[in-house]
Amino acid sequence: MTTRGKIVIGLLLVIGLYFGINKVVSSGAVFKKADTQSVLLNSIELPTTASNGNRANIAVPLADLPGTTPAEKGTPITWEVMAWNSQMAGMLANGGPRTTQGSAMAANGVDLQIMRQDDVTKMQADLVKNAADLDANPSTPGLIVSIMGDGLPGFSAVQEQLKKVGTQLQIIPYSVGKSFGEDKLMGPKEWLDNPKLAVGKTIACYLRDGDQNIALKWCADNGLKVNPDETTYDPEAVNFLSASDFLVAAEKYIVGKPEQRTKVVNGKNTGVKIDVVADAVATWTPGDVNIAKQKGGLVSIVSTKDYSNQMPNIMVTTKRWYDAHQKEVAGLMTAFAVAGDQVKSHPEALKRAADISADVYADKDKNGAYWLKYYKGVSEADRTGEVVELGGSKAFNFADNLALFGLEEGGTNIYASVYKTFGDVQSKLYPKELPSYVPLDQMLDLSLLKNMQAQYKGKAVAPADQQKFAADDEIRRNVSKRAWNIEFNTGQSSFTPAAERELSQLFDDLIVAGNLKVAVHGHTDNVGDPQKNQQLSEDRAMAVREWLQQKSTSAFPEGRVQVYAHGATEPVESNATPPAKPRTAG
Amino acid sequence: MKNLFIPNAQPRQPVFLTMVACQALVLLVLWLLYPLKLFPTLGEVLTAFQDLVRTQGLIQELWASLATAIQAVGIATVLALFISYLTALPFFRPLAYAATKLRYLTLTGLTFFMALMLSSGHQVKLSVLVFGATVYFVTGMTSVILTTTQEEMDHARTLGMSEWRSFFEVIVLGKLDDMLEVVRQNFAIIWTMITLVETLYQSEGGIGLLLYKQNRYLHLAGVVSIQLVILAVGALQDYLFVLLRRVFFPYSELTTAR
Repeated sequence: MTTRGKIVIGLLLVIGLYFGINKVVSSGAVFKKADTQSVLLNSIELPTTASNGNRANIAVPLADLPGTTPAEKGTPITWEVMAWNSQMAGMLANGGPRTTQGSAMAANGVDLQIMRQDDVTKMQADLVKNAADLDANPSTPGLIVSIMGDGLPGFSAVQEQLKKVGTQLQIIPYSVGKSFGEDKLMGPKEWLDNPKLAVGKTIACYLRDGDQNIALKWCADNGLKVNPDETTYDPEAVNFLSASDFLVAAEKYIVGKPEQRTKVVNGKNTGVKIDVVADAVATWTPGDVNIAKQKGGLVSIVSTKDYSNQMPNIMVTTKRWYDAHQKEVAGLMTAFAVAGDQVKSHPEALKRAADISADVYADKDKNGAYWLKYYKGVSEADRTGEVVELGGSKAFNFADNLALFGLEEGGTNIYASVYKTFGDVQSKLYPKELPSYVPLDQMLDLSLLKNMQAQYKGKAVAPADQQKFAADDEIRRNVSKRAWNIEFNTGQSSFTPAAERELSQLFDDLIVAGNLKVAVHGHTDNVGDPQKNQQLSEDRAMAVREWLQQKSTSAFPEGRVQVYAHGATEPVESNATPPAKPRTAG
Repeated sequence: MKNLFIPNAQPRQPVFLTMVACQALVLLVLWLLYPLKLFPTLGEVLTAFQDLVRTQGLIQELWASLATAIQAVGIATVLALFISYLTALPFFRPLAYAATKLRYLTLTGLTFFMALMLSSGHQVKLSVLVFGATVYFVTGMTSVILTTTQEEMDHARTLGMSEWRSFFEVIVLGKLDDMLEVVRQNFAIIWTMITLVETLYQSEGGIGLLLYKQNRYLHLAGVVSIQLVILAVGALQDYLFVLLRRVFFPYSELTTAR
């Protein structure tokens, strides 16, 4: 055969093979990926904090600021952190990237080295390595890593690997702070008034993490379906455009290039190819800053300022190290508590903490002033003149921690709610990636915090941040509207058992959104005397408020829940349905 | 049998193949019996593989990636051959030289500019792969051209061929088999990059996205099984290239030691 003949036959073979395989693969003769249906999530619940207000409000005097020379004594520990402003108290406690003389950390016998690590997978690997090193040599410095509280269920996948080296994850029962505005969903302004406009649109974000959780919660609160599959497009749901990190997510919107995917309807592949672009972004500082400065056009739809308990900074380590170093852990917590008070009450201390942050995060273009500015949060005009809120974090003190872990009188373990809520959401949406997650009680032991609580009793500790809701403060902006079908016994304002279950759900839901005011609108059906109905609808709305306030006085202080009665003027359905509408106090 | 331990020996094919099979078997048995602490066991990997094929569309994702890879290699080969052949003219030599040096560029940051210049995610994906492969191909191909001996060129000239004709006969036709070898050796670059670009543009799926998701949740058994699939595909690819070379350029092995 001539070479030419060979080439012709070869080409024919190749072309035949290519199209043949293509046909077979797309026909579904081979195993297909399991269809993913879009999901309407049950409401996602987040707890709220507020202290019960009976703690005396004592100001903490300004302590001496830490020195700058490394102390070089104490038990060595490594702390890996992302560049995240919630760590201000930790920064001040340490005095520098490594514990300095005169710092709270040095006073508590700890020599802490803070390292920046933005890659979560690397953190997980480091933990496993640290566990193995500790096994071989117990004097190895322990490793603690800080992650987003709502991201811990996903992070807990490392448990399998840790078990192989004979230990498991353990949470330090103390949080240095939280995100308070900097993590957000940014979208077109119209979404604020009409969330339904987000249906069939696409949100760019780093999937299966805190930023996406904000978007998921907002969708759930507004009754919008979400499509968990990042390779398909569902016109009847909110879709996600997956980015490799939170800055790339912002970049996807800024660059605005389309990506092709398959259209699905009711979970069935239609075979139609469709181009999607990023219509909105879930990201955090400086992703939001980049969007505002480089393109603009998006406003903050909802943020961790509204869902104020979603993202505490949670530190995890290995049980192996934790059990052997109770004294050091207590020292660490004490140092954080002392510094937390300082950072919260004294601008000088906060400024110093920001300078230390700049040292630790080591971005040449971001000095202490940058971190300070975005810690406080700012409103700036973007490129299109829209005003956007950027940044925002909060440092915690000891009292905040008691509130977070539910050790106050009548308190609920807020973090436990957050953990379970987002763990369930993620494993419901992504059963393949996260088939299960580690139950919190296997990782969290509050005894050290309880010991400190007993030790500090009656001592001057600055009070926890308290949400203040002025009763006459009008709701200016809706974050979400949802009708809750809470059934009453006919003609009365008492609940049916089914309604009790609904209320529990509503309660959990309002816990995460700790910063939002709630408006309860009571309705009745249009049967019977209008005046009686008016009274009844008011009684019913009041009953909902009562119920919430009784269940947690700390989460529902006076003034958070407002009551409106509509009687039979706007019957929602033939049966009584008071829609509970959480809204911001603005 | 004793042939296997004699320097420069060429054992008979069946003997050699049996030996290879035994070596692979020993490796598998070792893996089965002595699992490493942090490395997934053989059983775990097989279970993960089954699940990936059955419910996570491993085969389709593999094909999606393979189709992209073949497309990229096709474009890159044509482009690289063009650049390499242009070196016949001194004017274009700096271009080829520059192309070879672009191997040292890292892709970080470049993808952003590509995204600005191109109109869609798929094009960026393809461009990154084509770019990455082309610079390696050009490097290999220009060095193949440089192995041309004075004797070969003089031979063509004495046959009365023009300079262009000599170039065509000696370098274009005469070196095609070596060019094929360059493509075979550098095809692997595509596989290392494809996982990266599929992570950048996840809408189209692909085996890189599958790997990324497995890794993100530390499903190490899944990671290992996908890596093994990629290895197997790579081995198959190499074999196909060897086959192509034998069919089209039977003379290329004439000088190989036997």
